[in-house]
Amino acid sequence: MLRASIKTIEGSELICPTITSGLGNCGVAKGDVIRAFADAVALRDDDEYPDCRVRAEFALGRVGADGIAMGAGNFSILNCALAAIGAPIDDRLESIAAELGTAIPAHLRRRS
Amino acid sequence: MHWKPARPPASCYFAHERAVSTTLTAEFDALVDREWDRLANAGTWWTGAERVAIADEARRAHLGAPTTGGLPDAATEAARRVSVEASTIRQVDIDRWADDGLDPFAYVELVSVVSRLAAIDVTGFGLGFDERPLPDPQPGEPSRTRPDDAVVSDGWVPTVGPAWAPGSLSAVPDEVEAMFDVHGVLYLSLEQMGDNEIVRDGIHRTQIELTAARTSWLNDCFY
Repeated sequence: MLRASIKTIEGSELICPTITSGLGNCGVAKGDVIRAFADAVALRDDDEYPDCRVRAEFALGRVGADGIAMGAGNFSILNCALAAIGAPIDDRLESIAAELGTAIPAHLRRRS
Repeated sequence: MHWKPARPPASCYFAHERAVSTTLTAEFDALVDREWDRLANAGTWWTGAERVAIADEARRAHLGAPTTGGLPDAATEAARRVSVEASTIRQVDIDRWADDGLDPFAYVELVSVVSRLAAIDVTGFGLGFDERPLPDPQPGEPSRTRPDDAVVSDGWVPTVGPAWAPGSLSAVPDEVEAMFDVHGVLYLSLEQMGDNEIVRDGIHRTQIELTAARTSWLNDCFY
């Protein structure tokens, strides 16, 4: 979905490895601020949260920062539910996982 | 508002701004009202008291606090594992819990309760609020109804159709409805999900999806 959405913005290009490494420009506007704030929220990191929140508000506005917090919350739901029921992942997505510097776990891989 | 500021603000700017309710925080507060009502009342497989006990175990696990012993052992272990280490769960765990009396359909409802609680608690943290205390359970008995067409197909639990994101909880239809209520507030509605150019509350779809990708990676999630 990230790749599909960034293609709608002329001149933008996704740099996948930075999503997982946390280093460098990923190609998304304000991506570094979003990544840091998403980390603080998803990990419920009391130490990192205050500064990340302020930076997110300066970059995205108060409502924008709230929107990122909600996105992080929403994807916690999917992560729990799908992992806990063993929803299989099509092995055709292996190339995307590789771009991100990771791999689909064997117990979730489904041959297409 | 039922929530209160969670932690010392980083700056006067933040303290001032957070004191003001935004459209999004109001939507979130209304969502938590609905979610707490669902949580407190009997579901398809668990009573209201049991659903609240499942949520309590999930929160305790996140804090590293001991169990209350208020649920059967299998349900206690399942609630805690889904809460803090869902990515480590395997088919053998679900089979073992079933042998110990945790019906796979009841397990699906448990997963749903814990997952939505995670979404609510993570979001509340991100908005700068403390966790809202769990609701008081309401009387009532679960319906224990099983969809005729729910079977184990390509996942580890019964589903109606394939075990992919929209169908992951389909063995317990009321939980699917609850899940989409949460998605609609915290992410996008089903209609909006098809729009790759959508800007919601000043955030472009790419920025929403970057949040999704990063959060999933942090949680060892590959979906």
